Amino acid sequence: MAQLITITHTPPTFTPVYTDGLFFTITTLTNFPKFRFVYDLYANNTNVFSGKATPNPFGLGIIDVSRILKNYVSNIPLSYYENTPIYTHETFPFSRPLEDNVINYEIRLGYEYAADEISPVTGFTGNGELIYDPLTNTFDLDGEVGLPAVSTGIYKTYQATMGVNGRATQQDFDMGPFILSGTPMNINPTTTGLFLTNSPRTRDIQPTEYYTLGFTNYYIDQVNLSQPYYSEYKFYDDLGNLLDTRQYQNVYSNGGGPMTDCNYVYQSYYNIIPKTDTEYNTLYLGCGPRNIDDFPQDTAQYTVQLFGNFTGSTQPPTPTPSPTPTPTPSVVPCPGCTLYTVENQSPSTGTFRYVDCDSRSTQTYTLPGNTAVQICACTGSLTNLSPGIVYSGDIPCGLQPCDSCDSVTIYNNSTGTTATFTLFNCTINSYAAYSLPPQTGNVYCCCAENIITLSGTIEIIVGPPCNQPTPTPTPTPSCLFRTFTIPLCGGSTCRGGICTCQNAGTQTVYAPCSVTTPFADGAELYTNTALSNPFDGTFSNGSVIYESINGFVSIVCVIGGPC
Amino acid sequence: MAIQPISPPPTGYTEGICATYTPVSEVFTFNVRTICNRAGVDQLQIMFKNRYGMYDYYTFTAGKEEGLNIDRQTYKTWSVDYGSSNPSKQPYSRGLTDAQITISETHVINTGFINQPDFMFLEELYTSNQVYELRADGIPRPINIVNAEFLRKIKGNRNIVNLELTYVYSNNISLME
Repeated sequence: MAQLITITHTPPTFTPVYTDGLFFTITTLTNFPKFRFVYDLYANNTNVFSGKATPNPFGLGIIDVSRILKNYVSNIPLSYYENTPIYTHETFPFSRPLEDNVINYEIRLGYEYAADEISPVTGFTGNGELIYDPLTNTFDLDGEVGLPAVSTGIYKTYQATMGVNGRATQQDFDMGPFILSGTPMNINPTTTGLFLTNSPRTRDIQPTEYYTLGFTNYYIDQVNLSQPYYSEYKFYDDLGNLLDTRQYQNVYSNGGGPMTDCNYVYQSYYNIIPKTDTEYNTLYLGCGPRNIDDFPQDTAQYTVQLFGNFTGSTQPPTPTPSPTPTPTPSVVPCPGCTLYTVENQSPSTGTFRYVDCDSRSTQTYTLPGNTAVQICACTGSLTNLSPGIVYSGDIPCGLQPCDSCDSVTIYNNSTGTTATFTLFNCTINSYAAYSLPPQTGNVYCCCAENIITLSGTIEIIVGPPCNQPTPTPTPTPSCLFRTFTIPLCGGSTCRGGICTCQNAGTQTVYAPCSVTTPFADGAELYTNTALSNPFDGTFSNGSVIYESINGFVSIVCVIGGPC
Repeated sequence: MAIQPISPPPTGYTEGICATYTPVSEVFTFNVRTICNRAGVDQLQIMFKNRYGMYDYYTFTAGKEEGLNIDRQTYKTWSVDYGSSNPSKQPYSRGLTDAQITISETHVINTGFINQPDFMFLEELYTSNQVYELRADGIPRPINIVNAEFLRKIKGNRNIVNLELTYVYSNNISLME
């Protein structure tokens, strides 16, 4: 199903709410009776407004959401220090606005129209098919009926305006200079890495005064990132001598965040706090003499600056808050692995499907006629067998799915649901399925990263290593044998000096896969699939008589010829 | 439900750095200077929401005037109680009566000599809709700016050396009726 609405203009992904550019333009085929675009506006994931837009003469729908969104941003002079509400002006070292200074929003777009001028309108999701009529060379909409569903994606806005009146003629506000990432450019004035203020950058301040500076922080959209990791204060006396240097981490326990400690960097933290989060997008830094604890005596001048910008080529591992339920991997559940022998008893090529034990993915195998293979498949996973394909097997198989086995404690914390899951049990060296009643837990020696939840919710706590499994190599699927049915010749093959074959029925024989035909000098033939019982007998392909002695075939004579 | 902030705030912060990083922000410089107090109060710092939605501060240190705007609603009554069994006028009988009196404290504060950057910056204070007065106790008190005009200090108008800000309290006591 295609998207029938085209978004032709979007506002900046992070923009002040009091700008003229906070609108979307959309278009589609609009030449229908009573056509109007319809849209639902979501602020912080809550549907706050539904509206309609009549297309302009150019078929464009204009959706200006700034006047709606400005009702959902606010910033009273209170902040959070961790979860403690404080007066903003008393911030130290960091705080975040208590109310929604920054919000995210999303618009879901659709349209409506009527079949004719007197019919009621029908709402469409914005998805469907565009139908082309070659006779009239026109297009039509075959839309899906329903509520608006075409998403603009997540945008952010915050309570602010253009900064200075000189920018009032501009449509959008350039947030670039206020993103704290990279080295600040120029001095007096610095033009990037700016705090959220128009104040003179050199201020007189009395020892009894408060002062805070606002700044952007964390992912302001999906790409751009302000990453101040700590603040630095330098105190000087009246002779310009450095008295003291102090640094404070921008972490949650210091009133900032969202990171909780220095084991993280912003680039990896969005696994914990998503990029769409807005709570930490603006922060305050306390920097007045009355804010700074134990303000150094004899200070005549001091400076405040933020430091950060992680540029490592490899991102540190993302620590997982402990304990965290393991998300269910998008692989096929596998209750265990069995070594199957699959035989195609039909002369024509056949197929079957199975779940591969290593990749946990469903695969289709094409098996030539009268051949067989061995595969390591999830138990009971063979399906869609072509006619003539049979299988057997009861031997466990499968590679060890992890480098080391750990003592894993699994809890089912729910109160009413039994949890079921599979894991590779290193004690029995096999996959197995387990269930835990509500409010219970158990310890398993298993591969921690290979636990798959089948139902319910489980909590996984990984403990120390335990006994290591002996891996069973997974056989590579390959041909085991070939099956041939050959016509036998009974009695003597030489009568009156002429080579003759008297029909004596047929015989099923088996051969290594290297043997492509039994009617060849030197071919090996056996009477069982294990290729351990050599076939002895005389047989013919209708023109030549062959003889197999101890399983090796040789030509006897040509029928009708001398013998 | 109104939120009760904790003042003074918690002090459980930690020093130290996350790692050695490079500057990402501009440098803000403060010159610590005790200014001769001419405002008649311990401190008169104004806190206001700037155009980026965050809070800024400025201290007015020069002369200060305070006063009351008083507004009266009055009516006149008969000082003789004609509806009684013995109409008469007593010495305490009231003629002109105050129905309602409202007051609003008016404050006029001054910056003292002000330079060009501060002057430009204070334009935001005069146009802010969220302004608070911070007194010595550190508790913000909401005020409303009443200046209807802001004269810019530009090249053609260099003789402005002081800014006068007039404001009223957002909340005043209710007088008896």
